[in-house]
Amino acid sequence: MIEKNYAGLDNFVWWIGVVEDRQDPMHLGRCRVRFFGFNNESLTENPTQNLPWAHPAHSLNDQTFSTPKESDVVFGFFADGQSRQFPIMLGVIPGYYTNANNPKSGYNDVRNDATVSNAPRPPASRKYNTDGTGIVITENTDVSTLRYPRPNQVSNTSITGLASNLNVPANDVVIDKAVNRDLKVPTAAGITWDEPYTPFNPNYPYNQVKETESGHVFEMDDTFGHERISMIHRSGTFMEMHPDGSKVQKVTNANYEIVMGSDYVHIMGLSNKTVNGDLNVLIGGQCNVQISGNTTITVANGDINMTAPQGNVTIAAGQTLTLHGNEIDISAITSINKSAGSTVGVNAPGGMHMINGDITTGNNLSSDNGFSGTLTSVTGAQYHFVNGICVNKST
Amino acid sequence: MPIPPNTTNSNVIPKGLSQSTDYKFQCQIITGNGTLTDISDLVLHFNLYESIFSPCMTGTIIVSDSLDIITNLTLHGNEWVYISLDKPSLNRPIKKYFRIYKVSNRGAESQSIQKYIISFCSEELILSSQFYVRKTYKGLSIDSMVSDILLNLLKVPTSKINNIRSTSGSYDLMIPRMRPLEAIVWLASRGYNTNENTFFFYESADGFNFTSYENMISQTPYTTFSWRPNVVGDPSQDIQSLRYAKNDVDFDILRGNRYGQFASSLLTFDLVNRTKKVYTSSGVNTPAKSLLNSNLPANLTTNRLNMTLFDATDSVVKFVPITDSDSTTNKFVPQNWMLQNQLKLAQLQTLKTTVVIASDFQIRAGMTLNLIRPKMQPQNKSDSEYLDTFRTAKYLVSAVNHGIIGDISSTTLELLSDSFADKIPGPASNAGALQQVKQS
Repeated sequence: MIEKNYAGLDNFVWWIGVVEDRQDPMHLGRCRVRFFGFNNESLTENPTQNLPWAHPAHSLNDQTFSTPKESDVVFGFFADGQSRQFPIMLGVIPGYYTNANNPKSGYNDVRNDATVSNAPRPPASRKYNTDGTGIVITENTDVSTLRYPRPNQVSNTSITGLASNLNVPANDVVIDKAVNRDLKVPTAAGITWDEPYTPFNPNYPYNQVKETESGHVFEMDDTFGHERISMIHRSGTFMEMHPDGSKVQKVTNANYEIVMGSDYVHIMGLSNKTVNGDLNVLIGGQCNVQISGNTTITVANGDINMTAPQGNVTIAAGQTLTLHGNEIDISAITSINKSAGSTVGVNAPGGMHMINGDITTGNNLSSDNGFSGTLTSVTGAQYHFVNGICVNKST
Repeated sequence: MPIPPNTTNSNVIPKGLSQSTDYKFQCQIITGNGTLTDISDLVLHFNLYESIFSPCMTGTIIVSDSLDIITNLTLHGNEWVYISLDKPSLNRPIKKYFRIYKVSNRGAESQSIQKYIISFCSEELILSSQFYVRKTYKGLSIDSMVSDILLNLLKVPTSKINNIRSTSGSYDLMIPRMRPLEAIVWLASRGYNTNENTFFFYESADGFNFTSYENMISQTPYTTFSWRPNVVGDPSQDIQSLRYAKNDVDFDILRGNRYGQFASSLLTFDLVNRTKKVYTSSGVNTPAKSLLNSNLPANLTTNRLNMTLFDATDSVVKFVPITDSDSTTNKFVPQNWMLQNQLKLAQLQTLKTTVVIASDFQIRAGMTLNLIRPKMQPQNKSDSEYLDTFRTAKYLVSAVNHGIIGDISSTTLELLSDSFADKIPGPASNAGALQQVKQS
């Protein structure tokens, strides 16, 4: 039954058109669409700003926000039937960009230069600095190349080339990422490692990919043998999961990680960490480090300073505790106490000199090579030794 | 109040109209190469039609052709015709050029005479069938859009535009692939102004008219016609007597309910702010300025649901999406025109009468006139008792057809009324009897 002016019972009138404006003042994702047949290409008879706003209809399982972009071919229906004043957008129809953009004619990206100059665009190029200063991005400021279809899109599909691995621009972040790998990274273990090759090799139609206007890429690639999940920022920062389960994460500038709760990391294999610059670790609480094997700390050029201003420093070894240095200075504000289960041996070819103070012993004082010198007792008597033999006593 | 019989506006009706045989008629064919041929003497039957429901005038000429002009002029249906109709005493002819769009029904009457029908219409109807309007308007009034289509798209000379009445409101509208005249009629349905709710677009002999119903019925009635034979004087001299009259349509509840004559409602849903609103319309609230006469043609008795006809707003429901809460666009405001337009078109089907008068080339669609109608009983009563006081009323001339058959010219009028001149009784004084009927 057809009933005039009754939405749903009126004739169903559907349409195909081209998006010319998506700057919806109500922020609902509406687009101004120029309809084939119902409009013409004349910007005089049908200025873009006169076109009705087409409401988007999202799929039930997609609550994300995105809009079609200028020059996208969309289709839908009129909510008011034959009256044809209230269009609803249902979807985007992909195709090949056969013709270059003509901003002087409808059914094109007719945005003016001011609008386009503030619109998203992928970087013109990226410079991967490896000196710790991060990536340098050069933006494309040529507005004539920013309207859709962009020059590199003409003759190509409106779908990103990443879906089929065809016609991917040389400055695409996926390409830049692949050719700017981090190689021969040194480790404390003496070995080096390389940033893995990306297994990017999608076969159409298995790569579910979204490439945004500014160049971000989100991929869920089901290509057999190259199954990946990848999230890449236009700056080159990315996280990629490889077919073998490996994950590669690269931050092309500063990395900040904040954990407001606890942090648990379980590394079942080897862990290498290479810091080209300084490493500062500040621990607010206790620090417990348990090491099953040997521990080697090598400071190539510098000192090791360990301080515990408010506490004790305990260095304990189950076997031998070796302190080795060109010179070892041990000082204490009050006393130094040494104890040994049997003997304390001192190997000092230059002799052991007591600068100040007394030597007191509860037992014998002995020396393998003989003790030479004067030993003064608490009574004032002086004992003169030569090679362990008291040769004189004076009072 | 009923109109007293034999009321005549003598200032409007000049003498000389009474004789059906007194007319001046000229008909010339202009062919594609500019040849002009007068075929007035060959015309067997001529019709020229205008209506407030038709954007263009149309007509037919039945030619009894003994000169074989169809061959000699190579008539094939893409020519022009010039028509002049007048009364000798008036010298106020209808003079118009029309476009021939087909020559049909050609047949031989005898060996030397052939008969065929030339159909013609206004040039604008042909133009309108040749392209679509695909144009968007932003922030314009309906009358501005109508003017734009007439002047800039159809290139209608201003001399052919009789009246474009202003409308209220500014709209953002897309004319979505409509023929120009179709678009104007579509726009007319959205026209409104202070105390004016229903707009019409049509062509009369005076030119194109975009005007409101309220404006049409506010004009002084052109004349008064009487639906009775003149038994006193010479009937052929009584221009107020009708040659023929027929009641085509009268009150019909089911039709009225179907078209929203009594009540209706409008549901709007704003897609932007997700707000639903319901508007209702009832015939009892029709402003006096929107009625030809003072009484709506239905009583106020209630049904078993305790509703009068005018309470049944669910009899017709409209549902339209809108985005009027979007402050950046002009509002669609269907509540300002949709129900009103529908109500008026339905009300105009209350009374429809066709009458034939001696040819009057001054009468136009869109005029009003008074019609005196007798009771259908022996006419031995006084004048006041003689009248059908309900239907003796003011009518709108919705269509005019000037016809010439041989030497006789006549004008057929389609008259509409949205109301009665007298009050319908009710609710009934015998409520008990009514109650029994309602529950039966």
